[in-house]
Order: sequence, then structure tokens, then C-alpha cells
Amino acid sequence: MKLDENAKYAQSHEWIRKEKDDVFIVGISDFAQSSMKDIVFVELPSEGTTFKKGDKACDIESVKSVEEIKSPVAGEVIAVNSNLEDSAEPINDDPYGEGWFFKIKASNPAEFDELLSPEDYQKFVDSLPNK
Amino acid sequence: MAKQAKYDEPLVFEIETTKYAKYHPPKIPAEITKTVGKISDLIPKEMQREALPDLPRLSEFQLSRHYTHLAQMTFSVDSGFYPLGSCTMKYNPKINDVISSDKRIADSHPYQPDETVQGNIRILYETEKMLSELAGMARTTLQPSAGAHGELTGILIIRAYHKDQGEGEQRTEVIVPDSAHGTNPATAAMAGYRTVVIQSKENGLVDLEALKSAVSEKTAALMLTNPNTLGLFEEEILEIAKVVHDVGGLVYYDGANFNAIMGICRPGDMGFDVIHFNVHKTLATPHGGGGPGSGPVGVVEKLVPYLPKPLPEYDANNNRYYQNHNLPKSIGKIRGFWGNFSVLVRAYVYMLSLGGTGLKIASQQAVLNANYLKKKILALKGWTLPFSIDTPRKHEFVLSGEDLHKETGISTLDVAKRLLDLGYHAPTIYFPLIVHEALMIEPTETESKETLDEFTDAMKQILTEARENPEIIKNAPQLTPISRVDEVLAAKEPILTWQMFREKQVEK
Amino acid sequence: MSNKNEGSAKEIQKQMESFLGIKDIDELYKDIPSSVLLKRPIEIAGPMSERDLSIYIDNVLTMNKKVISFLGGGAQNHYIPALVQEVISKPELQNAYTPYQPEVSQGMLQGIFEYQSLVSELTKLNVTNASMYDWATAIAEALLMSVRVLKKRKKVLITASVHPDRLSVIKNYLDGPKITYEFVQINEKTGQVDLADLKEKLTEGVAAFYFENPNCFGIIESKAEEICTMVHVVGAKAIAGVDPISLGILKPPGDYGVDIAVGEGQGLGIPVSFGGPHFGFFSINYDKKIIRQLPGRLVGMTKTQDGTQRAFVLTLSTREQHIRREKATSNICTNQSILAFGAGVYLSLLGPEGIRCTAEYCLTAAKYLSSKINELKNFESPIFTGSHYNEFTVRLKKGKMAEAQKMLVDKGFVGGFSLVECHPEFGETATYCVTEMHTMDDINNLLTALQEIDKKLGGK
Repeated sequence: MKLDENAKYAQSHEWIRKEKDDVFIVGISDFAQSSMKDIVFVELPSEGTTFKKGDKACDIESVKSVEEIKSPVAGEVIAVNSNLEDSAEPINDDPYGEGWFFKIKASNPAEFDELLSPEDYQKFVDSLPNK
Repeated sequence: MAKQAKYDEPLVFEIETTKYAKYHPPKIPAEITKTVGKISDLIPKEMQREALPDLPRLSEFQLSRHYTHLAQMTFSVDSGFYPLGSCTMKYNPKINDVISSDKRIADSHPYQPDETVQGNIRILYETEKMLSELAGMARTTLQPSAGAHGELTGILIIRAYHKDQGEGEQRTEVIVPDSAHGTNPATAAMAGYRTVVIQSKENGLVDLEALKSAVSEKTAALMLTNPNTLGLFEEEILEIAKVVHDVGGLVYYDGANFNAIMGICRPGDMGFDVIHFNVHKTLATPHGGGGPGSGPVGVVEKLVPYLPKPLPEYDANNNRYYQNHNLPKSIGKIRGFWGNFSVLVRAYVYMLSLGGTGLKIASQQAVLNANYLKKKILALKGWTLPFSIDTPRKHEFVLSGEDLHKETGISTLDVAKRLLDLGYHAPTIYFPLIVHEALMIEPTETESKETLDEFTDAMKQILTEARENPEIIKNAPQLTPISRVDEVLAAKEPILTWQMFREKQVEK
Repeated sequence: MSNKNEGSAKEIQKQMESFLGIKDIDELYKDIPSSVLLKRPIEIAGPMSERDLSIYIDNVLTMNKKVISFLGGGAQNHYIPALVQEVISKPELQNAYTPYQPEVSQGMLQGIFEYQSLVSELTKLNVTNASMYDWATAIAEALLMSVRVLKKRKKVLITASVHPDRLSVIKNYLDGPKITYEFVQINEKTGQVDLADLKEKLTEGVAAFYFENPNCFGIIESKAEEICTMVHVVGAKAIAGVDPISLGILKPPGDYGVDIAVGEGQGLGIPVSFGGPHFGFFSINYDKKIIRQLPGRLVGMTKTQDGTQRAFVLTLSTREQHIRREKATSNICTNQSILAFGAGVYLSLLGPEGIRCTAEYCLTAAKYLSSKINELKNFESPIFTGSHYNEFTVRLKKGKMAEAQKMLVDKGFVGGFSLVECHPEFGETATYCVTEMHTMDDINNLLTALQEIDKKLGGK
């Protein structure tokens, strides 16, 4: 499993990275994309949507499964990666880069600090049954 | 062992038109044409179709050959063993089809006055009586079109009952076990309920303690199938029903697995309040590659007032059958007309041809076949039987291929595909969700011991191949009309019609 | 080789039991508490031999009376070409389950793909699902889909001309998700949608408007395009119920702005069979997002994994109950596949000219009968000024429709579907339906019977 050392992680397998000030960028972990296999579709939130921490932000679909992506912090969506709407392949190919989902302006940036560090996320994934 | 023909069969749109005679619809009588005048004057200008629909122009012969090829590329229970778990793919006797296509049935219109369709209503009436007797219920509506539609009907009846009790707003939850069919939670959601999932116990059965903590004054119903999707009978069913009834909830029976218990025990005697039948599973009506089915719903006495309209009745004084629409508390209608009648006729014929005793024997043989095949396959080593290993299964059993997968890298999907090469339809795979690498096998009563033995040999061959020649499994199937399908491409770039196909070609 | 027929079934049973280490099948039920075991035989007659069954059911069916019916109302008696009946009776197609294993189900999958395409050709909307239970449930599902697409809108509009049985179904489906509905009135003169009333009721909270074309009175909606435009102005979805055979001559819904077209597919080669099984069709235009809200199964065209062959497969299944469970677009699972397959055979056989000629027969024969009935002193037909297709209204100026219908039955005819209960505002009215099944003799004989009734009522 690849990890982005600069990101933090949620137990629901989203990663979040600080872009600048209170703006954060969100995607799903390498573990999540490889467990889902080929992702065929993602429905992104619209810009301007506000989330509480843990709110459902979007659905992603593979051929035989659907997963909910939750917002790791509270805030307002200020940009989405609309390239994914035409082709979801970057999520599988480059989950920490081209496969990002949305940018969020956090209303409480301290929530970021509460998330899992790369090491802790690795431990969390290792502890999962039937990994 | 079944084999399929291979054709590169064109779509009807791709077959060249012919100079030979095509189908002729009846001619409009001259007297009519003379009287009504020009057709274009009869339709508002803005509503006339300008271009003819772009349909094929083919002869009956060309089409007959086309569909013969398509049929030869379709696996059915008439072609070979079809042990698809939870689907009860038993043989459907031909007499059912012959009788149901009688012109007197086929041509009768549902809105004809009762006086002109006494035979039809009598069939409805008698079919209902038989189903109510089989399930131990007071009355049964024959209207639902399929199992899931029966579920929706049943849950709507339950909701109407709670509403009538003044508890419509209060009861907002439907409880389902984690082993439930996907239709159960989907149905609950459609009827406006929140689904509460309870985890199964280590023995694969409902956890009574978990159920006790899940029920409350919010509980509208518990949806359960018994035997459950593991093929295990819920031994504590009476206690389970009591827990739900004690908080004022009702208990719903998903009839997908009813083939295990006909004439042996009845949902009505186990404390269930509502049951749906899957006529296309249990009562030998063809599934038609996805439908039509029929999902009659039986209820206990107190729920009878809420059944959909109408109910077939018999007036003994006047020796007359009639449809009773006068049901003031009824939920109304859940589809057009009175149900999938010609499917119900097949079930009626099937029940009469077996009789009460024959139906019980059918269930017993289904259970014997399942347990026989289970023991034969387990003896092969490679598959495990999760949950309650010593308890007899009922009509089906669920194996886990987890060990095999770890040992050889061969997944249950691979095994399923290899079975296709060996001439069998694959069992249900990856269901129920609580079993890893699940393989769910339901042989049904109509298969011979010889077929079960041959299937065991095929499973044995696959286990050997998994260890010695796994590539042949990973590349399977090769002997079928096509090899493995690119489902990712299908979902990423959907082509759902000929029109979309042509649009894509133009883009390229 | 030994003759495998030696040895009785009983011996085989014994072998199986001894393999399991049991003496009796009852041991396999030992985990069932004895208090729930049934202690008596099931009371169902039989077993009966095939011969006895055939005689028995023949006797039951002689209780049906042979009549010539002019009933429509969502089920119409059309001619079923021999090929259609033959194809859908093929044991391979009849006795297959849902095509979960595409490699051994290509025939069924291709047939359904062809059906989806052929209906899309009629509707001019490029996606059609693999079928719904029937017309009524297809409407209900279309309304639910519109609400899902438009998320926050929780109200729908429905034409007041909708058939009462279909309305009852719709109500049951809307009730769970707490969607409200309001009627849009019809113009009492034309029988068409009252555009002023529609305009007034179309607000930002409306998710969809459902209308029928032709409607329950047979009336063709001449302002269909205008209706769709009005609906789109408030961002709602236009849903139309259409008759598939009529689309041989009537403008396809996709060409006048309909977002979802639904209807009864039974006319396309499926017997009326006392009300079922029939099937509903459901068409939309492809959109990557909206398709995710479509109910029901879909067959897609793809390739084999090695890229060498064309292949068909059930696709976009993440919408469905077996994957998305309580969040599924619908709980539908078993649908009406073989009937949809049959409709594909029907459309392929009739071809463009066959469908147009059939539609023309239906239209002109209905027009003829209506005009002849209108000549009778105590009858009026049609009661609306809007043009009709193959169903039309007949009103009695004197006497009761129920009595007239009864007299007709005595003469071997079933007249139309009575509107007296569901639309008392139109008086003693019924809707008659004519199809290509009605010969000139059938029509003239009905007219003779109606003349006799007219005489009794004081006509000539």
C-alpha cells in the first residue's frame, strides 16, 4: 500500500492534505482504490456545498460495489476535480495526485489534526480482518 | 453435461433485408377507409410521426433462425444442472405451459364482467385457497408480480395495519438480519422505513439477544426467511416471533426458501403474520430469463382487511364466483389488474398435479438432495461449510472457498466460470454477504442422484486443477459461446441500445 | 454397460440416506421444533394425472363465456404472430433464470438488448430498461425516479384523466417516500390537458408531471410539445404514458421533449391473459448521472476481456437492490424478461410498415365505429372534440350504461370500460377500444346489437 506522507487519513479511507491556510484537498487512499478495483463512476459534490465532519460527500462506484466518501472535516466545497466525471481512472492510477476529489475550505481546521497520521493509518489497515 | 452452440450472431439491425415475403398485418376494410377518409386528417398535424421507426425488415424465416441461435446460446434448466442458490431452478412441467396458453385464458380481458369469466375467477379462488393452506394463512392476494413486489405489498399491508392502530407515525423501523436478500432492505426503504440490520450469531442464526435490543415501539416488522439464506432453519422461530410481537411489531416471511418446507411446517404456525411466495421458484413456473414471476402474499386474519383489491370470492347460494372490490380498508392496488394470471394458472396446475402429499415429497427430496450433495462436496476437501457444521441444511447450502483461495489463488468466481466449461450453470456466488468467497448451491428435488454425483466429479476436477493447472481455471470459460466478459468496459462506457452503439461509432 | 434403469427409486433413496447416515428423511428436519411441525397432511387435491388435470381444467374453463370484447383500458387484444408465441415458448428461453452468468446467457442477453433498442426506436429515447412489471408500476417508478433526480422536490403532478387503477398503484408507491401529488384537470371540451391549470400548478417544488398520450379517453394530446416545454421551464421532468403500437403513426415522445416515456408493452405480442403477465416499458435519454437513478435491469454491449468478441452483459448493477440494498433505486428484481424478449420478436417481425399499418387499422376502425355509434339516436360518440386514437368515449343520452352493457353481454359482446364510477361528471359514459383483431363483421355485429339497444331506448 502506498501512502502520502503529507496527508492525514480517516478510518473510512479518505486522505486529506493541507493545501494552504484553511484549504484542504480530499481523495481516497491507495488501499481503498485497490480494494474497490476498477472504479467506473464518481458523483462529485457541487461547489458551494457545506459538510459537517463525516457527512457523505459523494458516491463512488465500481462494477459490483458502491462506497460512500465522507468529508473528513467540516467546511465548504470550493473546487471539485471535474475530470473524474468523464473518466474515473485517475482514482485507480494516481489516488494521491490526479485522482483527488474535492477541495474544502475548513470551518474548523483543528479537525484535521485529529485524523490519523500515515503511520497510524497503516496500523489501522493492517488490523483489518480479511485484508 | 450441457453444451452450447457458438455463433457470431448479428443483431436484428445487422441482418440484411430480404426480397422474400415479410409479415402482413391485416388490411383495413375498404368500407372503413371510405367512411373515415384520409388518415393524415385524423391526427393533429403536430402529433404525426414524420419518419417511420427504423425497425428491421426481415422475413419470419430469417428471424426464426436468428432466435433459434439465440436460444441455443442460453443455458436453461432444460439444458443442464442449474444449482443457482436461492432461485430454486427445478424442472417446470410442460403441462403447466400447455394449459396456461389455452385460448380461453389468453384471450380473456381483465375488465370482462364476472359472468363471462367464471372459470378464471374460480381458478383464482381455488389457487388462493391452496396457497393459504400451504402457508397456514387466512387469506392470500394473488396480485403481486414477483417476490420483491410481494415484499412491497406485504410491507404496505403492515404499514396500513399500524396506521389503523394509530401507530403509523410511531413505527418507523424494519429489522432485517445481515444474511437477508437485498430486496428486504430495498423494500423497507421503498415503503418509507428505516432498515435496522442485526448480526447473525456464530451458528448462522438470528441472535435473539441482538433482536431483543433492536426491537422497540418503533419496530414495524422483522423480515426473515426460514430456512435462512445459509439453508439453516431458525430453531428459535417461536421466540423470535414473540420478541417482535411483544413490542407490537409484525413478522414477515420472505418465501424465497419455501421449497424446503412445503407440507412440513407452515409460516403461519411459526408466528409469521405475512408471507410472500415466489411462485416462479417454489411452484414450478418458468423464470423466463428474469421474469415474469408471481409473488402472492398471504396474511393472518387481522391483516385480511388491508389486502389489495379485489379478492376472489364464491357465493355458494348462487353458485357464482365474483371479484370483491368492496374492501374499504384495502391498500388499493399495487399493479394493474389481478395478477400474473397465466403464471398463477401454471402454479395451480402444478399443485394439483402433485397434490398435498406430492408437494411434501418434493420438499423432502429437495432437502435430501441438498444434504447429499453437501456431504459429497465437503468430502473432497477444499471447501468449508461455515456455521453449524453438524446441523442438516434444508434446500440449499453455502460453502466458503476462502481456504481454496488462500491456498491456490483460485477465487469462487473462477470456480463458477470453470463450471460453465464443464457444462453446468454456476451456483450463486458471493451471497450471502456474511460468507467469504461464498458458493451457494441449491440442487432442487428434480435432479437425479446421478446428476449430483457427476456434479461432484466436476467439483473434484476443479479442485485438482486448482492445485495442478490453475491457469485453465483462471482462463475459463473457453468452451462457452464467449469467454469472460469485460464488465468494467460495460460500466465505464455504457452501450445500452443499438442507437447508442451507432452514436459511438459516429463519434469515432 | 449396465442398464442404469435397474434398481428402483426406493433403492437410490436408501443409498442417499445411508450415505448421510440417516434412516429416514425426517431426520434432516430434526432441528425444527416439534411444536411447529405440521401434524396432518396439506389439504390440496391431487395428485392428478395429466389426462385428469386436462379434463378438470377444461371443465373449469367452459365456465368462461365466449364474447367479442371492445375493452381496452391498459390491456388490448392484438394479434399475436405465430413466431412470437413460438420463440417465447422455447424451453431454453422460458426456463433460464436471470442471466447472471453472461458466458452462457448470450442469447437471452442479446434478445433483451435488441428489445431495449427496438423500443427506443419507437420512443426516440436512446435508453430503455429490460422491463418493469407493467404500465402502472412503470409510472410509479418514473415519478420516484424524478424525485430522486431532483432531490429536494417532493411533489408531482398527474393528469386527472389517469385510469383509476393506475392511480391507486401510484398512490401506494408515492406514500412510502412521502411524495405528494396533485391532479392537473382536463379540458372538459377537448378531453386534453388543461394548459391553464397545468401552468398554475407548475411551481418550483414540482418534480414531474405525468400525462398520457393517448389518454384514458383515447384522446391524442395535440399540445404535447407545449406541455413538455412548460414542465421544463420550472425544471421538472415530463413523463408520458404512450401506446407503443400508436407510435407507428404518432410522434415519438422523444421528439416532443418527454424525459421519461413509459407504457404498457402487452400489445406487442403478449396475450391479455385476464390481466397478466404483461410488461411495462421505461425509456429515457442517456445521461451519465441520471442513468444512475434508473430503476430496473439494463443489458449493455461490451467485449470479452481478451477484446476479441462482442458480448452482452447486465450492467450498471450498482443501482440495484442486490448491491445497494436500502439505497437501491428500486427493489425490483424479477421483471418480465421473456415478455420483453417477445416484444422484440414482434417488432422485428412487423417492421416499420407492419407497425404503421397496425396502428392505422386501430385508428381508422375506431374512428369508423365511433362515427357509426354517434349516428344512433340515444348514443353520443365521442364526447370530446380532441382527436382520438383507438379508444374513444361513448355516452348514453338516455338510460344506464350498466344496463346497456348487460344487454350487450347477452348478445355476446363486451362493450367498453365504464367511466361512470371514476368520472361521474361525464354521465353514462364508457371507453371503447378497437384493434386490428376486430373484423368488419365484428364491428357491424356490434353495431347491430347497439341498434337494438337504441330501439329499446326509443330510437329508430
